[in-house]
Amino acid sequence: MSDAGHTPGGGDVAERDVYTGAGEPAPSPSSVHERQELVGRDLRTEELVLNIGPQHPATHGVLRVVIKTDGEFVRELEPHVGNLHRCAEKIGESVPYYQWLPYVDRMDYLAAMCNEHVAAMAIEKLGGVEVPERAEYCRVIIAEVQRILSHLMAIGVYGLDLGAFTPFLHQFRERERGMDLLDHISGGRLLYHYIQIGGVKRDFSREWLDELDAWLASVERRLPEYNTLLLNNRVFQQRTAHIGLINEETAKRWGVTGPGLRAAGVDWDLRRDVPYSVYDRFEFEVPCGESGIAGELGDCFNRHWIRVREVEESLKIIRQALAQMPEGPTMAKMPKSFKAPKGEIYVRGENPRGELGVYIVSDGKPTAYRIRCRGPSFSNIAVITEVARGTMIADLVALIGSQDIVLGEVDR
Amino acid sequence: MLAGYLKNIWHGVSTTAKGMKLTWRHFFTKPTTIQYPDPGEETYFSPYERSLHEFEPEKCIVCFLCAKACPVDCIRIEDDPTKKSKAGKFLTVYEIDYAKCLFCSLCVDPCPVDCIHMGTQHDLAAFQRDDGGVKIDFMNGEGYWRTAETSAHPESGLKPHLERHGLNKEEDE
Amino acid sequence: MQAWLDSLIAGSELLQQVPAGLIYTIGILGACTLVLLFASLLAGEVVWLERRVAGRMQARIGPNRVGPQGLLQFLADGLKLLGKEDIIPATADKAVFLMAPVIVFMGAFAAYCVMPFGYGLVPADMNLGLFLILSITSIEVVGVIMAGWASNSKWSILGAMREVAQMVSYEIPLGIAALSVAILAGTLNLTDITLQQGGGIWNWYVFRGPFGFIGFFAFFIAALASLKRAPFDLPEAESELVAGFHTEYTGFRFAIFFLAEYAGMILFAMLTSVLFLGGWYTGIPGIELDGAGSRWIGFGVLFAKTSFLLFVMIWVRWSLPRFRIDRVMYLCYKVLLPISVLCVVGAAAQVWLGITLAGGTLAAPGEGGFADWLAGGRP
Repeated sequence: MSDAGHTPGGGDVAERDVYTGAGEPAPSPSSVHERQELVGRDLRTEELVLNIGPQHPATHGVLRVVIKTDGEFVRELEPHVGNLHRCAEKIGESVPYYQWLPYVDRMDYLAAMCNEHVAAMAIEKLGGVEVPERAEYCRVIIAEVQRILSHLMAIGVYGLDLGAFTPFLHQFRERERGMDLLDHISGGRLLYHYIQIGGVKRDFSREWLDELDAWLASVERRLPEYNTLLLNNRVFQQRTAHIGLINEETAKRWGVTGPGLRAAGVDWDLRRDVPYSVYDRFEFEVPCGESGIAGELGDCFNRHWIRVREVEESLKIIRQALAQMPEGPTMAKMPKSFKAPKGEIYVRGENPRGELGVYIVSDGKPTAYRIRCRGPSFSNIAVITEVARGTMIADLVALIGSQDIVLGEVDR
Repeated sequence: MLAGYLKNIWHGVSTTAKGMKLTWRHFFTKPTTIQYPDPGEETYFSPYERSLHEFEPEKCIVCFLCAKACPVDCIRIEDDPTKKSKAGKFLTVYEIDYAKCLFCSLCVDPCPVDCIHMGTQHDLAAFQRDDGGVKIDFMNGEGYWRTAETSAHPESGLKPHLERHGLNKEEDE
Repeated sequence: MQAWLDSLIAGSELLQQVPAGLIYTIGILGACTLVLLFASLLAGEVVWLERRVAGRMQARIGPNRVGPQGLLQFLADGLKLLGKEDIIPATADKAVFLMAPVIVFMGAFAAYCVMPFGYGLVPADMNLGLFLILSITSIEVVGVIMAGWASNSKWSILGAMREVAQMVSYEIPLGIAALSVAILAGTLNLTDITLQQGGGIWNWYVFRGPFGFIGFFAFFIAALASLKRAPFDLPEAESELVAGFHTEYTGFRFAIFFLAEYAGMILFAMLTSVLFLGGWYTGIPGIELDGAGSRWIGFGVLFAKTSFLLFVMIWVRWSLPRFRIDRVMYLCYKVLLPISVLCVVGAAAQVWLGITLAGGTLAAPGEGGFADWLAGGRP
């Protein structure tokens, strides 16, 4: 995806990027090209190579996108990732499993508990550790709380990208309270280190559960407010409906998962279709993209709408889990030095951004031989290389925002 | 067509008005901001808050379990084998490099004598990197101080501490 | 103001020995300095107002540390910006680069000179007041292009082009909506326009018939867009993603652009109050604030109306996402332009037919101006 030696913004734009309209096939049909073909083969136009640099105010992280634009339309696009690479996988080869878990938090730092959940599951499956049932329920509740927090952030930040500053701060109100909840139980607000190999670190106290109920009620009460400012707003609809279409075939080809895939119409959610942990005991709907509410299948509006709906579904799951939760220990009996037997395993889970996969190869030592994480944001951002051709720059911002990437997960 | 055009305008105006009504309502609600605590003010911390460590050196038996458990190897422990203390071995240096520390609290669980905890002090600001903001050093013997003193206060930090106790000749990396 | 200076000269023997031209010059300079100071201070305080109001609407507190309730925040911002390094890009066109902020600043601040702050409290009572304001604010466009071009950066020129397209396009409905008031009033003199709105709240042009009402909204929205504010800030905020015309400006040069934007906000809020909301009149019939002392109360009334409109500007900004540039253009040419033309035609028809509404007075033929011309008087 990245081209070594590619220096955008250099002085020799004209020389390198002249499009003469002759010989080269147009990358995608657009009226601009058709017009040029009609006007004349030797009409020279220059493409502008622009760099949406690693530092930009949109909070997605250090993503660098190099675009070739033809006036207002994007002709080609190249994301340059890797600015946040911290060798999480390589570190997995040098430290024991239980010391590697804090690093998993830092991959998708906006949905850290979900990362921990999948990674801990992978290590446990490999090592044959049986997690107590109460711990499983604790994990599901915490993961769904984290999903709500992550989606709230995605909803707010998307508004911020489009210029609606207010929902961004309103969602922080709910998110701060939720983070206080997770802070209370784990000691950290963003990076928790709560889900451990064999269970969870601490049990819920009565007052924590009461506080959780109050918070769930407040989220439910306030969710329609975000819709007033975003989903139901005409300006927002004009900015996101029919924009950034990722259809089913494109999504499958590029490996897009999560809300991006569901917005394209594919009814696929790992929690329901490949259930892990105790997700098979809950009833919840999986929102899928629809044509006609305001947009069409696979557009930015649908992706946003699905995230809002998923918050509602998570509320349902948490309430069911709270009702069903049995008593019991929250941590399995773990050996002093945990060794996984020789073998390999691939475990995947439904993160708020898509399918997180953790692949571990073990050779019997306390340290893994190789760990590989499949971050959903990596595929989600790769797809814009194809989808963003022909969009306007303002729509490009809407598209990248709707994919809801976290660079920690892209680069690991 | 004119009907569609006017409907569009009306839709735009009405959704804008609804959004404005919401922000108007918010204008009169109490803000949810908690202001940054001025020095000396109390502020809320979780009971399991993972900030700067609190270390009780008189209990430490220099077993190195915390240093082994640390994923980033940021704990440096040194002891003097010729001396003995009440708890066992004689601890001379206990240093946590906060430039590396993940605040993961993996050092807390293995301790057999429960002498290291994660505390609530979070203010690591200092004017220089080596001036007590990054490393905490502890010296047993003549005097020691708890990590809660480590802050941007000019009297705290390693160098002033060494001067206070006449230990300037000890150089650490 | 000339009348006041004349009365000063007449009342003082000392001043009569000084050449009148000198006194006039000093008077003018003094008035301009006063206006400049006042406008700058007010612009600084509007920054505070915006940040506090935005904060409260977003469930948070705005700046409240510097000074009581944070009122001196703009001083802190100004000091900070003054202390920054003054970087001029090496490949920039230096003369144009340095001139651009001055021109934008001038375009925003010079128009205050014809604004009637109260009865007789206008630095320069010009018969072409409205026209002058609209034309001076158009000079900002030149400054924006200069800034974008001189920065010698792709993003700057792109951002500047978009800004200019937007500003220039929205001057059309802006001028036309203002024209509808001018037609109803029969004069372009802002003091006279205000005087005709005395005597009761139903005399305000916003309530005088449907065309004043619609014209008010058209004018206000066009003013928002012309100021690059509220939901029309795509060039400067998407360019926030990629920087925009004032990317290469640091320190106080950036502060000048910033101040110019807020001064423009205040100017248009004041202009809207003067044109549509009755200027310095309270709206209570019987209170004519034209005495020597009460005209300052009138200034306070105008200030209150301006603050209200500023609040509405800030309110709209924090409630809506941004328009895309093609929607901005659609809104201008396909929505606001027909509406404002409708207002003008309707206002002209109203004057022609001599329909006065709700006891107000329209410019009667014989008073000069458009109505006179319609009736066949001298141009």
